[in-house]
Amino acid sequence: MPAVTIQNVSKSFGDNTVLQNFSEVFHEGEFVTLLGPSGCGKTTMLRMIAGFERPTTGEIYIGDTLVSGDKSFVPPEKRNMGMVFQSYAVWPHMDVFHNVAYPLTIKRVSKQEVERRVARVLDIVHLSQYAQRFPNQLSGGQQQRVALARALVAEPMLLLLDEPLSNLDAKLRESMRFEIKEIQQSLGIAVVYVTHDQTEAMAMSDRIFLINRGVVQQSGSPEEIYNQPSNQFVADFLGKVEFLKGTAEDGRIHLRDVEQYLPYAGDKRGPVEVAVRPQNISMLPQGGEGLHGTVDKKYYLGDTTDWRVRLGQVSLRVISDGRQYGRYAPGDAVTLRMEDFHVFQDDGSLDEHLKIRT
Amino acid sequence: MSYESSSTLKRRARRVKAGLAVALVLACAVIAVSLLGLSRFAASGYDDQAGFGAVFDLSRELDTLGREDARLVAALPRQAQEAFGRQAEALLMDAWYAALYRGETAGDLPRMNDERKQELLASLVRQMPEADRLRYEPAQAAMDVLSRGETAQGIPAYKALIERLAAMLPQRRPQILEELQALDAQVQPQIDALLRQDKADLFNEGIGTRRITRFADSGRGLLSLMRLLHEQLAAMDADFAGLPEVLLEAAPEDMALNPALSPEAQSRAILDGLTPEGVNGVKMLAAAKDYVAVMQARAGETGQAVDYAPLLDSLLDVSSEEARLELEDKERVLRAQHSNDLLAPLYAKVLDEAAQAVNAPADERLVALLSAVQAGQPLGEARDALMEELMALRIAHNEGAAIGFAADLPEDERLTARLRMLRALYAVDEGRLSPDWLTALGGKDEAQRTEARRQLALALAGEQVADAALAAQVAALPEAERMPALMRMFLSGQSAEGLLVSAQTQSQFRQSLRQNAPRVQAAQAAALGQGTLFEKWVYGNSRTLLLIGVLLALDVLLLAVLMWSQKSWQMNVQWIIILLILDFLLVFQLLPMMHLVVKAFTPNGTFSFDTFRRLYEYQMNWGALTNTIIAALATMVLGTLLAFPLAWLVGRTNLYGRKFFRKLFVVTYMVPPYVGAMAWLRLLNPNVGIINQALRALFNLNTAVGPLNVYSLGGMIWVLTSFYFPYAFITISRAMEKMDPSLEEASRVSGASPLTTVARVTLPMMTPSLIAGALLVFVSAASCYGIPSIIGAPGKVHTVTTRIIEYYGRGTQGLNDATGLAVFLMLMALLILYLSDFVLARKQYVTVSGKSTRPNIVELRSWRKPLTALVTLVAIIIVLIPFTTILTTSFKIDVGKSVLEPGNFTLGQWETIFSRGETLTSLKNSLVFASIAATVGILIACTMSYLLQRTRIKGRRLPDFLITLGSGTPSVVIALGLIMTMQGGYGVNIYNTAYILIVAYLIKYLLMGMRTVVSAMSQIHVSLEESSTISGAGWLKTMGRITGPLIFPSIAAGWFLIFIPCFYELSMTTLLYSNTTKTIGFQLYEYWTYTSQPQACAMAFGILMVVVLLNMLLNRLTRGEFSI
Repeated sequence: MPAVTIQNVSKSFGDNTVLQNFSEVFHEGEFVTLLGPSGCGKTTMLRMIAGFERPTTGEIYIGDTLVSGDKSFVPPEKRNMGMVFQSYAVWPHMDVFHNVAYPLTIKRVSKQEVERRVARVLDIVHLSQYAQRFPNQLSGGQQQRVALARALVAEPMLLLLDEPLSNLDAKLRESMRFEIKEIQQSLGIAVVYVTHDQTEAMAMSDRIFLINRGVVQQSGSPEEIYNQPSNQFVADFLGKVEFLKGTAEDGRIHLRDVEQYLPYAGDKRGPVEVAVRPQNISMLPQGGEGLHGTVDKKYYLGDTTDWRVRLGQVSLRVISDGRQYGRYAPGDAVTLRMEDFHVFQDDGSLDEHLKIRT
Repeated sequence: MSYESSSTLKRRARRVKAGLAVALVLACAVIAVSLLGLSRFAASGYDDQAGFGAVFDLSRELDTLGREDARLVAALPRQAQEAFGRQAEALLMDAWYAALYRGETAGDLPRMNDERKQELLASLVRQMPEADRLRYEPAQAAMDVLSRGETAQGIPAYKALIERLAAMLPQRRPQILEELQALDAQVQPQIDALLRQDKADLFNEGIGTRRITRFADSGRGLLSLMRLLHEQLAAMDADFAGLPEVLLEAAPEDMALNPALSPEAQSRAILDGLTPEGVNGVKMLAAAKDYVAVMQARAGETGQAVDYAPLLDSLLDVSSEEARLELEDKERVLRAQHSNDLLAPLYAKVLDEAAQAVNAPADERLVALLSAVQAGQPLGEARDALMEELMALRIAHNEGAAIGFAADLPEDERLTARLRMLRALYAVDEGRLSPDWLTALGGKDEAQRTEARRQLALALAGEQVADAALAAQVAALPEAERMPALMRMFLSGQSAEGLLVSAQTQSQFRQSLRQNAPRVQAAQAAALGQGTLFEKWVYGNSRTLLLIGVLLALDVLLLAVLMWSQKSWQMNVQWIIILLILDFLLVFQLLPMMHLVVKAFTPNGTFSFDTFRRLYEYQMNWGALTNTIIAALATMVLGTLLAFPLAWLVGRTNLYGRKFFRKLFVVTYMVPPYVGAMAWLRLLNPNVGIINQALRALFNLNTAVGPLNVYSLGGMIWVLTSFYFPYAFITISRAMEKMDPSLEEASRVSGASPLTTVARVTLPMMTPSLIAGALLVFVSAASCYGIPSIIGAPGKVHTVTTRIIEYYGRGTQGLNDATGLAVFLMLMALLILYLSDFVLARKQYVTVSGKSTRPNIVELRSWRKPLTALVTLVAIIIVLIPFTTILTTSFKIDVGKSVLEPGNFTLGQWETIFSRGETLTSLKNSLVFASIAATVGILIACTMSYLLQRTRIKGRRLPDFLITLGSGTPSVVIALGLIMTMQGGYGVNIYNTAYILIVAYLIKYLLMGMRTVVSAMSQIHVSLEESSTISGAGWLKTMGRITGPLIFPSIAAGWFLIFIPCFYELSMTTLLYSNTTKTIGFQLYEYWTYTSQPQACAMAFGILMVVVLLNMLLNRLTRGEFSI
């Protein structure tokens, strides 16, 4: 049974359309991430699933039940979900126990049962010893886990997470990432996760929906979208990427500005854009097949070295192993070999896409 | 994009539009019905709903009774019917006249007094048809001028008449006027000389009146007059024997006579030692009379002339406003009299000439009247003659009307209508039947009574009566009374009690007549009216209906505009709530304010600037205006100068005890201003003020008064400053504490010293808050009533607010003046509200963010101790001394002495106030009114906060705007507007009830509560509510368990913020109270003014304690987050 079914959902505020024609099915036990720059419509989608917003058109089903449609609407409190907010929204006037127990008391669960289930969920989020504390006595990470516990305690079919980690510091964020994933896997519930942090999305998701300007650009497993981006925006948003403009001919691509040729076996012809990830370029001493250039600058980053190599009028970024740092010096002539790259038809949309990034 | 639902949306929109249209039509229908009702109402000549209802009740009763009468008459033989009809018509005519001219016939004239006659004369002329009115108006006006001796504008009668007569002689006019001018100038000195003699009479009249209330300040001010009298007696070398003893009566008990001195010296000693506070006013008045008696006796002995002018001036000075105006009136009348006497020859000459030349009918009647009077006919007789002439004319007019009324009726209904009319007219006058007659009918059953009535009808038709007993009774009546008596009996025979109509209807009808339309008109309306119950209700409540209709129409239109601007034609419950709140504010806030403005520009029903011209031209108004502006400006400057350094020291330095000082200064914000005024009065009274006494002792000053005098503009400014500077203090210190410290740190890093930083960064950034605080002080001081009324008024330093309250209720002119002043005050306040809320607010540099910033604390170093000492001194002067004074005064017996003096300490004042019924009643009133206002207010506040903070619904700013406007309007203005509009004229009548007080409190103080709740709600992130919703809680549960508990402290705080000022409110209550709705603030004011200052102080301290306790409770309740 699908956990959430979204059919042709669009949402506009006045004349401003924030989400267009979203259709998808989220499955039980699946960890789905809505990823995109801020203002792309991902939070709106989440809030429509939660029921805080109504779609302008289209329908949303939770399980088999129609919850948002043209004629029917189930209010959020009847949808039986858990949700964690960006600001945690832990109520300052209740202690941890009462915060977490709240959904159960609303459902009039018996007292012993409440205690048992709160204890269990607090155990899951490692907060058992803080039950009596008030939110102002907790750290950000702890508050965040209270919010998580509260979202989980009623054993919802669906857990909604709205950028839950963005207010935490980097270390904590990383550890919480795995913790959430682990909890989700052990409980086996479906999660819809909203974030603008691609690393977070990659680390946790079964499926990622990359959204931009209200339109889903690509969906698929992290590996799929990273390795087979469907357009320049996707390639650019996930990881690092360098774009080179050129013209595809039979068996090769003429790179404009670089004034060199790149072997190409694909079927695209005419103006194209070559997208290559800096770490997929190997740098060899001068000679042999590849693009010829000179080292411009180099930065030592420990586990990697970040290079700028001049190819004609273009400065191309190359990332190599950290140990390569001493091998070349600025001014050295080198040959670059593209291990893996993608070719997109150049319809002039690249700049348009890149403008969106915030 | 596909919009599958667009058709549904369109259908819904169509339905909503149709609903709006229906509502609009409904509103128009209600308005139409109410306008119809109003026109019926106007036609009935009634001006209140009860009277209108009474006429309707009567008409319904007449309907049933009339049908029976008609049945009975129809059963008579044809001939008898006709005769009966004729008789009925004749009787109707008689009854018509009787009702019309009751108390207004020539026969009634001897019983009327002059005033009544003058009134009747004016109304007779007014009621004439146009042509006659023009003819008689000049004569009536001349009669008015002659009998008063002057015109309404105060021009002496002959002068005015000469001018009027000159107009009839076009050729001679310039010459006459020239002559008049010359003569007028020539006689002025003579008039002045004559007036000097009159002043003696006026003085005697003024001092001779027994009532102490004629004197301002309960007669204490008589002291200055006494000093003058003493000087006068001494100058006349009069015998003082016995006088010092009388004078001593008025002095405090500890004063004694010095037997070594002469009586003259004794008197002088007492007068020197007396202070206005120590004087017993009643006794002083008695003493003054004795002094006057001695003075007059001495003047008689020696033949010396006493100059009464300074004495009279002094008397007028200490008289109450009312008495003074009365005496000044008399003086003016005397002046006019003298002028008339001196102008008489010229007048006679001009009249003579005019009599020769007259040709227009209006002039003819005028000249005839004046000539008759000039020829020696007494004025009264001439007037009676004029009135008889007018009455005869009126009867002639009315005969036509009465006949016309009967003739206009349809043929078949004529008799019924006449009988009903007769019944109604008879019902106007009591006209009881004699007991004999009653027994002829009384106690009989219905059939017997019908038979008796048949017999009576026959008798009326002139036929023989079968019943012997009845026949004998008929025969026994004198001829003239026979027919009316029979008719009365015939009509009242229908009820067993011999009543014309039911007793209740009749009494209602008569009662309504007393204050309403002319009798005939009412009877006519009743006889013709076919009112149903529905009509009675609709027409009787047409003003209320009109109001409802207009509101409904406005609401619908507003709703349509809102929906249109939102491009979504969907109904929303929130709109209904907004509209309800809006309606409340429209009726109780905007309507009164608009009424005031309109009234100010149309003082006499037509547009004119008279009211504002009078503001400028009339000395009392102009003085009040300038005083208000000077006092408010000075208070603003001083208050800000005091507040800024204090706010900086307390908020941004390491001053010792800064938190304590902050609380202390803020708490004065909560103290009712009049309490401060009372305290400073005790401290700075020119004679017995504690500070004055101390200063005199300290500097060895050898005077009885001064050096400081609180009863002055300066005194008022000082007290206003000490009680309004917290307004600036709070505004400034709030901004100062919220300022981002990094802004100042950046200045320091750039090399600026702390002082430079204050000057170059802190101060400029504070400027908007500084100005906002200053403006707040300005407008609060300008609209304050408590302080000027206690300090300014006794010293004759009037302000706009005290003037408004004094003028209110003093006739039309007084109300016009009050309106003008109120509009001036309101416009000033609203201008400042606009400046500070809409202009300055945008320039506010200091953004208030949710995060708490820790402001930089400036190290005072070596300055720390001296500055702390200085602030302590300020605190002692401004807070400690006044409050201690209030407390100690409440334990005094004699306010003039120290509480520590033996025998001057008492707990009696406290006992009295706690045991006196009226104190407890007013306390209860205050608690109840303030609680209701606070509860209703906080409900509105919560609703508004929700709408403002949690919805994006269009139109939610409208009530918000009006609420801000309301709280910016000066209290006195709100109260005046409510009084003028809430007496039923606009369909709401809550005058003299507790509602009007509560409504006034709500309008003034609602914002206080609302701001608190709004700011609390804005600090609760919406996700807190959403996470409750996602947990399965509905809206109500979320409100009850999350939002409610989180903002509860603010709700409680808001409640108290509305409650506290309502609890001790004075200025609005002074205008709006009734005998059953006195509040504690007003009671206190009454005690202070009329009863006993120590008791008032005890009450004031009690109020103070309540306020401070409530503040502490508030503080505790909200964990220190809120307190004022």
